[in-house]
Amino acid sequence: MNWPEFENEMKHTVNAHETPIDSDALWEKIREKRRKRALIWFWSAALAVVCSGLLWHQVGNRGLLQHEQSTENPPAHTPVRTLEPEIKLKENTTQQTPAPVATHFSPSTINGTISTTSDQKSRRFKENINLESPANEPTHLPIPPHIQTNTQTPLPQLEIKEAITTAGAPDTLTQFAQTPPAAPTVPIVVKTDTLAVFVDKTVSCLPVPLRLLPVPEKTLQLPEKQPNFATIPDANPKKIHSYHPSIGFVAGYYRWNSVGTAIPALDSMSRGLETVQGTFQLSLPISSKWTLMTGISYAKTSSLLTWVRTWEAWQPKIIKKYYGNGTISNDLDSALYGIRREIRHYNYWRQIGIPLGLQYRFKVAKVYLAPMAGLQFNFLLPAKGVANNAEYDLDPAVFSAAYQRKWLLQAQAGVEFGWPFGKNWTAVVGPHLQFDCTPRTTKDAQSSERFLQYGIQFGVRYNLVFK
Amino acid sequence: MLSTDITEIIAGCKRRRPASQKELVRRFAGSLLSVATRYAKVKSEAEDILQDSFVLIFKKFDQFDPEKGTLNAWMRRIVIHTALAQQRKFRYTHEIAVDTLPDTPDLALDVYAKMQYDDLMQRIDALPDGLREVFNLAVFDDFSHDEISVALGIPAGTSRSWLSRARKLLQQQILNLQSHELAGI
Repeated sequence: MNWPEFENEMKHTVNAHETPIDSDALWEKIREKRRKRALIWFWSAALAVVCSGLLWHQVGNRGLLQHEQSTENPPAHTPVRTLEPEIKLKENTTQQTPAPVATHFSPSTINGTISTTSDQKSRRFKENINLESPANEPTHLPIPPHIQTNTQTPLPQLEIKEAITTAGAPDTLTQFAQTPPAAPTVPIVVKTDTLAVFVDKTVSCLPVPLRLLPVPEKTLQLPEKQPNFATIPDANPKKIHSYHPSIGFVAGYYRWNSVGTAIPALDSMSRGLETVQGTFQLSLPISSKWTLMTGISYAKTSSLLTWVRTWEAWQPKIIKKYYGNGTISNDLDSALYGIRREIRHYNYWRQIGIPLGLQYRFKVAKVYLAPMAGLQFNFLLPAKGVANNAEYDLDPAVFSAAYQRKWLLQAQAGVEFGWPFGKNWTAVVGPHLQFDCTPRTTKDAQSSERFLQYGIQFGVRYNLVFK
Repeated sequence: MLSTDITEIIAGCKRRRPASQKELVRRFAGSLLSVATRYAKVKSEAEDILQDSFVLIFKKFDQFDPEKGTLNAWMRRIVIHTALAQQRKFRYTHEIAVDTLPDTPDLALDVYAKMQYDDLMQRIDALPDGLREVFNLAVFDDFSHDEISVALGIPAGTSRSWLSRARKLLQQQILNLQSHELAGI
């Protein structure tokens, strides 16, 4: 028997062999293993859902905080907004307690009252007391006329606690508390001190008569959702990145350190490269760091074409010769002169570009570093210029219109100083450094070479806030 | 369920019926355990491979196409790949010195006749890990060297070399057995 035959015999023996095994026990183990894996998947999915919920909640809180920030420092001429009552009672509740205005006095009416003024801190008060119960049908309660009449009256800076202790106004909140909503509610015992401290923190200068803020010392039935005290702004609120898209116009003046080599005589053009550029930008933030950037830019780039031209020239020279007999002879001779002339000429290119890229922005204080990748569509406008030739002479150069698509791989850095003005406007200015590290893909000039731009840019930006 | 036709088992498994799946386990567990045992170091590891393989088989049963091959062959492939995936953590880094091995010998018939399955497997298990796996794949499971190359992540040339070395080592062991037989030990 040779080895191949032996291997065949082995193969038959091995493949025909069946190892004895308790299949029932094996089946149970398999089921158990599948059950364990299903459990693992279930808990993983549950964990993912919980994490997503926490993330969503976090993002929601950020939005609230950001909104508070914007209301903390509103511009002086911000129009008064109509504020919705923050506590919404069940419809049946209000139906049970129709009646005089005074009996409808509630935190929601406080908010409604405050909304009628443009006072900054009262707006803040509205933003902070957020006792909204979205599950209930909203009922807008009328604002007591005695409050409405006082909204235009400047009020002294009074302490709420004092106002509460000296309040002689009708115990309207108590009445409110006596007619609780029929919906499932959570009883919240609002102590006088607690509410006073809370109100102290947020509204120290209510423009409404403070005596109209009675505080019940009894159980107050509030809708199930509790006040979101987390929305009270801190003394030093945490800075939140804006997630709003923005449009803006930025102009800049940049100098370059190099340019492409496709234009004739660019060896002589590597100096004096300047660009004046204006860009309408559209920024679509997709997270706190990532932003989708696009827009349209117009750039005029100039390069200094300069070289020294030297040549020789013969110049006639009259040589006077004096002879002994007094004869003077004017001999005509020629002299060789070297002529040196520096030639300077600026060439211009104009280009319309549409960048489309994804930018990641590192920012520490005013300093930012923003790598960006994407595509740029360039439309090179026709231009006329000059170029030197091998004879070191000027030749007219015509740059025809061209379309060019290139990859965009850039790193931008700079310092951005911003001054908000108006409602959503920001003026920005700062030095800017831009390094283009796009691999060379075409032989077109200007944008196909790696280059470094540095300069200053300035402009305005408008945050698009969609409600 | 003992007389259930294999097509019914397949149909039941595709519908994820536990009874069909249990019958599949009952019918094929023995032969698949033999396959797993060839790639595992110890029996418990082989059983673990078998359990994982069946979990995978039930999960991927929709992908089984009877027109492309038999169910047994398909499941054997899954067992082999599961076993190799488990073995993948232990890469073979050692080489075997086989310079002095003899060429292909003639084997006495009675030597093979006296070799039982366990004796054979004992000798195959004695091979170094890499050589054993290549030998198993190439000889018993009909893997080509290209397939072995993909499965083990080694070059096809290495696969050939390891198979040759595995054969020589095995031949040496059997020749030793033969000489012992002749010597009457």
